Amino acid sequence: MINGEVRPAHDDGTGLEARIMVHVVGASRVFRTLEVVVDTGYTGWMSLPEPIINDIGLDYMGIRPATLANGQTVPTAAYNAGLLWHGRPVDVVVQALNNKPMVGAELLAYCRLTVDWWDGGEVVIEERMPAA
Amino acid sequence: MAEELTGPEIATLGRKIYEGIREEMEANHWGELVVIDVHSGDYEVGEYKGPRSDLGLTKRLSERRPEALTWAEMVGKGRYSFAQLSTRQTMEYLASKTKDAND
Repeated sequence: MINGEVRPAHDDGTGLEARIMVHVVGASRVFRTLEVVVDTGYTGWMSLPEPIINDIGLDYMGIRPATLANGQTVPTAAYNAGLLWHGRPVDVVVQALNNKPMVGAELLAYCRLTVDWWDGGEVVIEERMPAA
Repeated sequence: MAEELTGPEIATLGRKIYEGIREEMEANHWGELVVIDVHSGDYEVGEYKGPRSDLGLTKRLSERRPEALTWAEMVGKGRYSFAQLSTRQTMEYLASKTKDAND
């Protein structure tokens, strides 16, 4: 089970976002614990700003197009990373985006996400499998 | 060396290599994803079931080509998109591009 907290999304205290901590491992076994926002509108695994990607030393995969919410397609640099997720290492693709570190729906595959949507509310991600 | 290629160069090379194999791909792999190493032209093609398929094909290609720099195309389906960004990511992406343009 992964636990996090709901906090204001902006410096002025407005908006809310669900935050969790994730453990990222780069190519040279450099290990970083990062606070990330859970964004279910993002269909990928994880997006990180380039300075953090360089700091961890992730393996560069190449270029992958991403679709913006306005339908426009833009190129993003894609990196291979390891995440410690529910106590196990998983391979993911990290997209370089100059915004807050975020994790998306792909990382939530076979999970239940529960969020108490108020400042200080609890975020819980549990492993689940569909009923047979 | 891999580091010498910029993002746009990788995209241009990838599209060019894909044009060279398009006929064979469309004849035999319609609707599948092809991941191309832009250095060697080597590629892996397989069924597409989401980002996990892209990662799997890329890793298979990287086993043969450890220095691979890759581009991907969805055979016969037009432009491939690895992921849909959220509204918030889009707003922050567009704001960062505006900032870059103004700096």
